[in-house]
Amino acid sequence: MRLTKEEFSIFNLASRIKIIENDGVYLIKKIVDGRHEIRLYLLYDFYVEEYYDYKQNKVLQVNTVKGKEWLQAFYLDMINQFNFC
Amino acid sequence: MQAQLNENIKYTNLAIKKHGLPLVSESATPIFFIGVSLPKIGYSIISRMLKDGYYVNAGIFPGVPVKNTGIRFTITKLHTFKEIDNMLEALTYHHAEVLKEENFPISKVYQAFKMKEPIEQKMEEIITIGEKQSKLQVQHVTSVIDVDKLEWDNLLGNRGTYNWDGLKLLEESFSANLKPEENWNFDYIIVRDENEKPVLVTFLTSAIWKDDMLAPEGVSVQVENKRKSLNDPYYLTSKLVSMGSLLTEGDHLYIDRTSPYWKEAMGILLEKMSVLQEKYRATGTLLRDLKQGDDEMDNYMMDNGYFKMGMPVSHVIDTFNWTNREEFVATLSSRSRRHVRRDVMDYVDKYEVTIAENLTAGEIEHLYGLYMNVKAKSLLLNTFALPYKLFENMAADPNWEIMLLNLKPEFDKREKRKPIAAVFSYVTEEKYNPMIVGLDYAFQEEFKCYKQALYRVIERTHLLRKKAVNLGFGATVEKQKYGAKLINVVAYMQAQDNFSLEVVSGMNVAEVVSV
Repeated sequence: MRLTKEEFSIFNLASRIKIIENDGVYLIKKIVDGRHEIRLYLLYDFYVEEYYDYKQNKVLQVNTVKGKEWLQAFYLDMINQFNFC
Repeated sequence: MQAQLNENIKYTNLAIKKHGLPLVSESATPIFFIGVSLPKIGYSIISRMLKDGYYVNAGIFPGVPVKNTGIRFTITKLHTFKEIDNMLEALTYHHAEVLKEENFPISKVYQAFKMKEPIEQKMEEIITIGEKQSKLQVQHVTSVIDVDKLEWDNLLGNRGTYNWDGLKLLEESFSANLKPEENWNFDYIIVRDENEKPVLVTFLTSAIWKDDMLAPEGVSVQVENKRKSLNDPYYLTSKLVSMGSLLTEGDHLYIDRTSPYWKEAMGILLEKMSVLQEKYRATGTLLRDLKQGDDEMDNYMMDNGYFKMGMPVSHVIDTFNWTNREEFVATLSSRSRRHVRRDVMDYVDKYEVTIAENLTAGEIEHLYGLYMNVKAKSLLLNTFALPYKLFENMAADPNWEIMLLNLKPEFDKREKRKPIAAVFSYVTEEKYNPMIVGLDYAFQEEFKCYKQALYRVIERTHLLRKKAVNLGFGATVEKQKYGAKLINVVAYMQAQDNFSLEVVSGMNVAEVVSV
């Protein structure tokens, strides 16, 4: 079932992870502060980020991303490679 | 287990609507009822579904009126979203097929159940927020004028700049302005128990934030450049419902943790914030400046879908075991003594420091210019500029002190001497709260006006016999030289749209420059 960004947001963390597993398209990841990994997915027609903690070995948070413009600011060095602007 | 079942219920309700099936009433239980109207239609669908491997049953006369037959099915926590999707796809197909076979239009099904067809319906919220039956009484008002001044000041008055008078000034300053970012909505929440004793008291503001406010400085530089090139100051901005405000800091939440109702009161607050988020079309909610290391609160907030994030370190000086400058310097570490003597005390005699009275319009304009100098230089905590009206109001308010730092004539050769630094501080019964600083950077290198201002604020606090001076966020290295204690606080955030979680993790290491 295709969800909108708002519909996706009503689900809890476990459900969001499942939805991404089923329907998300993995794009890229960034390692931040040496302890966490942020993975970017394309889900239907919006983007989501998973925040993964190495020490706890689990995803702590999943949230939708504001939009392409925001992605440009944070993934600028990788944008051209993947051409999703 | 309940949580997983609830998620499946949410998903099923959503999926049924998306498939356009006539759901007779939205269920908070795992039992669903899809209208078909006539018994023979129901039997046919059930038979088809059984062949496809799905067990569903009929709600039928005499259990329901004969023309209100429906297909009943149950989901469990063990069902996956995919399985629910597959079953509903099958049901949607057979539902449509059987209606076609029986030449029974879907509109008649909706009529039988006195329901509107999906085309006429709006997409409704799955999660509804309602007032619970509770022993707690909730007061929710949109101006501090409707709040009891004595009660408010007793509970929150001495924590920072947000006593009753302080909030009244903020309300007046952040309303009826031309620019949208200069207009805030204020909401005051007081939750009382059956004895009318406050359990939770706080205030919220809804305002436009820059999305990069908490981002590393390099990101803010990029984003500001983009805003300029697009000539769009609102590029990458969002409205946020936040505890406290962009011009206050400290513990904005009074909560009686000894009350058996504290969690219920928190639940009411979170619900209110969620409703306000809808009302003001905000993209998120934020509770900030709460104590770090509160595991119980951490767990509670995360269970309610909030993510914890670090905040900039705040600073306070609450010990004044000195009577003059030399004694003050003697209280510092040996390394700090050297810095403070060299960078502050050696310049003390070059300054004339006064507390402003009866400022003219031109003088206020000059001070605003000093503030804008600081604003332009710092992108570490990137916010919109404060409205000019605020500065006019502060100048006229007896609770605000404006400290002016002028150089003595022999050091300032300008035609007309003007302050080269100013500090706007809110003075409460117990604390001195410097909130805004303005500097003339033309004099910064030679006369170290920021460091001088910082010291003078500490000195002023002691002179007024206040218990503490809140030095706010940022400039940790500098403030520690003066003996400031660090206060570690956290925030909890829930956002529809992500400010990018990198921002959140970035906050843990960001150094913020402020007052």
